[in-house]
Amino acid sequence: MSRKEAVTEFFGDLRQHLMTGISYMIPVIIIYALFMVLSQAPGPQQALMADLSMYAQMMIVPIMTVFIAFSIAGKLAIAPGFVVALMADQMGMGFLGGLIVALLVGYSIKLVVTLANKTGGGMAIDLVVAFLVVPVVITLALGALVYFVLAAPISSMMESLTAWLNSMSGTNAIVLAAILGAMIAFDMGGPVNKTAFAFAVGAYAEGLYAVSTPVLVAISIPTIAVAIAPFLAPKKYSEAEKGAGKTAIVMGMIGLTEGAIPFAAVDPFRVIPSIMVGSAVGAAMTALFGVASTVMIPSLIGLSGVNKPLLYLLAHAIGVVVTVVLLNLLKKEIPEEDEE
Amino acid sequence: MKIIAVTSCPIGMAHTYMAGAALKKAAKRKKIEIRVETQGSMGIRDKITKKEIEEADVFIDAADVAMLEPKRFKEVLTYKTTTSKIIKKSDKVLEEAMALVEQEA
Repeated sequence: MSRKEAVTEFFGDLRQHLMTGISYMIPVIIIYALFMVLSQAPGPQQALMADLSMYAQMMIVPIMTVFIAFSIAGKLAIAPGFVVALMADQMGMGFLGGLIVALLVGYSIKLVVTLANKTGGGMAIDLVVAFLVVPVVITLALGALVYFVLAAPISSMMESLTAWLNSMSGTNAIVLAAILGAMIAFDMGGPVNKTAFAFAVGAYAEGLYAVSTPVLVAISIPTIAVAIAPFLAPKKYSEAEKGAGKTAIVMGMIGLTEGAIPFAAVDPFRVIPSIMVGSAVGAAMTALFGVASTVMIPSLIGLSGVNKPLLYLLAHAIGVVVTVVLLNLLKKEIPEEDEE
Repeated sequence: MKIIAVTSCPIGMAHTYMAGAALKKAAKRKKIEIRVETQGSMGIRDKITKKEIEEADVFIDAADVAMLEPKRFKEVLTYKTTTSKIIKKSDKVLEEAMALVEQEA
């Protein structure tokens, strides 16, 4: 294969690598959040709840790193990825540090393995790579890189970023929330949506609930809206859409933005702007009201972790209403003969 | 035409199964055989057998996250896509996978 093809193949599908890390990281976050909430209740079990939450928190970034590195380079990347990421996270490098370590560990190991395979392989080479080069050389090299070079700048970057996001006064926080909300609705589960979601997960891992919660609200709004809209303007929706609306109600309750896809597919220029505005508004309201969720779970099932449940629901409601109004305002009636 | 597919989304809950169901429905509409394996939070379900891999004309790789046991499918003509694309346009995805088979023939 050509040089260019070889390079592309080496780096692989970066998005898939990152998504793998996030995918495995989410259950750890759920455990952390759940026990964080439970540890608020006094009683003999409180110390246990607090401990479980604490240990889960320590594992969030390492698990993400491990699975990104695993996606890139396979099994060999797990041990060094875990150890170096744990150290990096504890040194304050956080989510960003975990990401950097994952890419460094993953690609350096992939390089070593690729070179080793080129020499023809054989038991001796395999043993040297697996039990010497990777655990000792790579862990030491990357560990030292993190410890002596990257820790200081990255951890201070994380500190500033966290402080900045935390201190985001009224208007800025609302604008950020609105932008993230619009991104979530833009492609309903596609790359832009996933980027905003990953950003929210990252913020959540750093305890920035003010940033992650608006995104959580934005997720359900499009689906709930497309479920309700056909009932208010039946002439503007086809039978298929009305049917899709019924499944959408359930999907909206569990926070699946994809429920809106059938509607966007048939009428993108009216539907997509409507849901983007609605999600942006809902997210902005969430920020305005100061709603924060300690569990990274959207919609109704996430209600348990919310500090202001009524305002949380209100933000949803406002977003849905805005979306429905826009949808029904913009959409045209379907003529009797043909269905759009 | 025999198609095999693996779906796997980041959260491992809804889209994995939704994409699987969408593929099956689209295959039914086109009257072609399909075997879908889902890899969600609950692990591998409806695992594709070795025989099914051997008999397959094309493999639809809809793993948004790193696939479990990917080496099984190395020898099969692969059409790479995402669970989102399938949920949006399952018919188109199937058609493109089928077109890939025609090209190779």
